[in-house]
Amino acid sequence: MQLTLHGTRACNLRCSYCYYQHFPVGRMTQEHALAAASLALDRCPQEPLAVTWFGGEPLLCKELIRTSTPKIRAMAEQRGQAATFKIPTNGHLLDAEFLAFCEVNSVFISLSIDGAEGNNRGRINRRGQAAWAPSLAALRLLAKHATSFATYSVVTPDNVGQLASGIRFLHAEGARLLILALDHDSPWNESHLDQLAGQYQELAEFWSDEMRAGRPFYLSPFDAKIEAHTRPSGSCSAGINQLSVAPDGTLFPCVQFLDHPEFAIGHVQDGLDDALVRSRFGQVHSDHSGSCGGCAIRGRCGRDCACVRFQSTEDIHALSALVCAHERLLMPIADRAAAALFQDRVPHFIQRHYNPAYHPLHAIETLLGLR
Amino acid sequence: MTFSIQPVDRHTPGYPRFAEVEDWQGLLQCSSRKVFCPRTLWFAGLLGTALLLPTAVHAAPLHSQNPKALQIAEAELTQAMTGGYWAKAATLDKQLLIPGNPQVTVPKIPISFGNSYTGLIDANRTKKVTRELFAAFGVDLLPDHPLSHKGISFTADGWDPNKRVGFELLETPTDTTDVTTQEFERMKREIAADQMTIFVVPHSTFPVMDNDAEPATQAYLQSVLDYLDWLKAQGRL
Repeated sequence: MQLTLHGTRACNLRCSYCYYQHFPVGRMTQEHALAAASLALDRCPQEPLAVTWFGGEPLLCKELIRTSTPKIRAMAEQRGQAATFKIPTNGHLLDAEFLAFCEVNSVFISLSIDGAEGNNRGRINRRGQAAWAPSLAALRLLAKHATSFATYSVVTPDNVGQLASGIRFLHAEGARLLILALDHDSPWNESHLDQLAGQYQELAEFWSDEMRAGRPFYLSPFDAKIEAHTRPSGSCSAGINQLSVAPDGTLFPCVQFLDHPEFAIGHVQDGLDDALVRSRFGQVHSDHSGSCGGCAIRGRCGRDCACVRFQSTEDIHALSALVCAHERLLMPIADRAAAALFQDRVPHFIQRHYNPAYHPLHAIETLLGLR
Repeated sequence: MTFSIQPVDRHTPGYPRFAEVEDWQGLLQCSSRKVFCPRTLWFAGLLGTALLLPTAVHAAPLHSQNPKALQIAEAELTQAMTGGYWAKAATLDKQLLIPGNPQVTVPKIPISFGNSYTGLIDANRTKKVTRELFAAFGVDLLPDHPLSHKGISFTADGWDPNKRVGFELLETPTDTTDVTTQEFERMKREIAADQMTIFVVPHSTFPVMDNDAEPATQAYLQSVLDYLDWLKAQGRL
């Protein structure tokens, strides 16, 4: 069960591509956080609980995170369920003390940073000024002190031309788990996608070379698409085993919908309204064909994600032409790289994508300081 | 925006799915020592993770007092057998999901970090074989039978109006004919009070990892067999 707790929707940045339009300052109470965790644990008693402290900027609620995280973990352990914790943050409020708390409590940090300074033009503060220096400081703090962390970069038409150099920059600074997300809401055109294809191709070569050299790193466009082939996973689970909880305790099926009260599906005090989930999302969960019938890459496409549909078309049922074009562009690049690595039996590729024990063994080595 | 939806006619990835690799242990063994240091592999072996070279107990054979039902269940299980990794790594456990009904057999599948279960056993196939198993015990179930009992209204996946026995696979919230969460709580109370005779399990109890449905199928079939043997032993059938 994926549980996203929006400690607050307030934010110290005003990124140009943010899907939120409103940043109310209200904070979640610990009672609501614990009630939400209890609800999630009850709903999926067989599964681990994956908690994400989200925002706005979640580090505006450091105290809530500090006090609630151990309590939620204890609740889960009492029920025989594992709990993991993650914080996506812009890093401006990240300091050594809070990072130490995260290390002690196994809270994973994902830093929002779009690459080098030139990639981050869309990341501005509330006065409209560039917000680069604190992001870089957070990156360097994480690279120096965190056992493991991720970077989360948004690719826009404005920064797509520097995508590969931006990723190389993050890699050079120590990032080894790099997540990319397309800004589906921006006005992309054919020229932008041509640039994106070139940048992906350059990155595929970099990613493959590092893999062959025994220095693998995770780059989501490739690793996620390859994994979708080697180990197919389910489609959208919004509202089923994925819940987002607003600061006031209102339940939503996923993070994208908090600005849209019509998508609310309950409240932590009253529980989840299954009838609302059915009426709002039932068709999304069961719609696996549509106009994509016969498409050879349909099973690996991001088309089923209600959030992506909503962000790109403002309709959770409408397929996105941009998503389709992007998938057609990305899939051959990722598969060409993967096929060559498989053909040559490159050890790190084989282990990462065919060994179910890869992640636990990798984690053991990371904890033992062997990586 | 100049883009359009364009289905791709043909696409060959050029590398296999996990489930398509016949000798995956051979594939892994050649590279594991090149990726992980010997100390890690030793440590993992010491912990008995049983993930790199799985030796976990294979699920016990199906069993039932009814030979015909057992034959049907074994045939169904054979269809689900893939020889996949998770069938070897999984174990079966018993859980009391519904007080008043017998314990249910559940699959315990060791998941790797970063992954979660990726699917559930096929609902339509599961319902079909359940009706066949009930029939082997002499219960003729009507499929998708509307049922109303003390404010609980739903469409039972199988119901015998004469014997007033049946089953329901809870697919909430994807199946709009299922009971709601609130009705399910009432249903549990009715079953515990012996006011309803119905085999009911949440679909989510039977997860499938990497398309390897064997552990979940085995657990589900044993649960149905146990329920029917239990009804038979009580003289209700």
